[in-house]
Amino acid sequence: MKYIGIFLTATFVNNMVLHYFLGICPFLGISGALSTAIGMGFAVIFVMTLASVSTYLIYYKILIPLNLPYLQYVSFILVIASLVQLVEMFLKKYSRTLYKALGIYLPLITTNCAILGVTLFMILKKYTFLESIFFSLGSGFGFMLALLIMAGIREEIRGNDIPEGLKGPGITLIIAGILALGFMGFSGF
Amino acid sequence: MSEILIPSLSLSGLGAFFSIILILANRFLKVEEDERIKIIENILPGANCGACGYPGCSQYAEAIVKEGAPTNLCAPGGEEVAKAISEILGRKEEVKERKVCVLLCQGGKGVAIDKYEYKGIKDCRVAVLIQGGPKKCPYGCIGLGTCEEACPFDAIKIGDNGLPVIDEDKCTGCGICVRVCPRNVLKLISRNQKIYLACNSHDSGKEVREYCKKGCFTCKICVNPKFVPGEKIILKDDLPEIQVDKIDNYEEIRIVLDKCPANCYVERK
Repeated sequence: MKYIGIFLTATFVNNMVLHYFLGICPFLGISGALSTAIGMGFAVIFVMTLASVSTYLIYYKILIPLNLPYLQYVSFILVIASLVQLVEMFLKKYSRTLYKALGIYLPLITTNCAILGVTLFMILKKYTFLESIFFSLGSGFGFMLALLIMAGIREEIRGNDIPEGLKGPGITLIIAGILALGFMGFSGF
Repeated sequence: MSEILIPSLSLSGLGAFFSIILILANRFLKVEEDERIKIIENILPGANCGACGYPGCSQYAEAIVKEGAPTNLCAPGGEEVAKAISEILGRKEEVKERKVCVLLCQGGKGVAIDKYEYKGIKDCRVAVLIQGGPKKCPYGCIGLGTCEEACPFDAIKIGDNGLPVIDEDKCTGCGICVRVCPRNVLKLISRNQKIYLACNSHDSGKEVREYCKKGCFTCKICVNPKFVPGEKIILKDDLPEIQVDKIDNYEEIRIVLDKCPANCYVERK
């Protein structure tokens, strides 16, 4: 039950994008079409989960025994960067279309602060190994959920008569703001 | 000593560990690429201008081999590149007409009247946000050199009169400047078109006369069939338009160079 609670909290209440405002760049950049949003969402979930597993091991098995917790940022970035490289090679080999659709945003997962955020929150909240897996899975699904909602709305309004000055980024940011307001409802005040 | 040694050793250890994983992954997940892609990529100019519609030369090369994209899309490379690529693939392609960029404005310093003095960032795209730019003419060139900066071939220089001068030998017709210009005052025309109208203003005659000495004020002399018969130039939105398909020889409309009272028509060398 505790694990489901952590998962749902990370997905809805403390949504990475709409509550912490992390990972805004891919959220705005790749939410143009549903199909690419799904691909991006799964890529982020994958990287996020693997990253939190390996950073958990590195933090508690290497950095803490050696008394080097201040190295967490550097080593976490190292882990994330290598994982993204791995995902990129994997996609290039097995899913050419997704690799092309994600384009520049795939390597940019490296600098996606949502992923670094998850690994750091996990340390901050003192989760156990299993808890951090559920936490990162939940955060990943939360990211994908936000991305899918955004992509769906943007596909819907594509033909709408938006005022000239608000076209493109303007209306997207307004939608993001309203979505964030909506997600505030989950935290109950 | 150990305060430095332990962190650096553990970090480099981590780095080495991940690099080994990546090396292994690279070996097992390697994608076999068609070697023709590399050859074609080397033939392409490598300017990554994007005129072909692909993000860069390597993507275009890939699209040619894998998706059968046309070989004649490369504007900077022109005929020779298209031919060379077609030879490698054993395909026959039509050669694309070469284009050149021209400026549809002559309203430089002292010709077009300014609305205000602009002292902001040197970028037309910024200037155009402030009351539609520093010039009174809402169609003319702002001349802050956004196109000069964007041109990957060094073909555009801002001249003494504050207007861009296009070096036709260097211009490849890639169209980057056309896309970057906030005024749409640059245009790609065929290299065969010798005479063009260097004004972009759709305003009425009275307004044009107030803000520019070399603007088209719609006197309609050039569209008069007495001077240019056969509807070779027609009026569209208060601006004459040369009908390129109807003209074989530009001598036929040379008369407009003299007749135009505002000297809006320009002959290319």
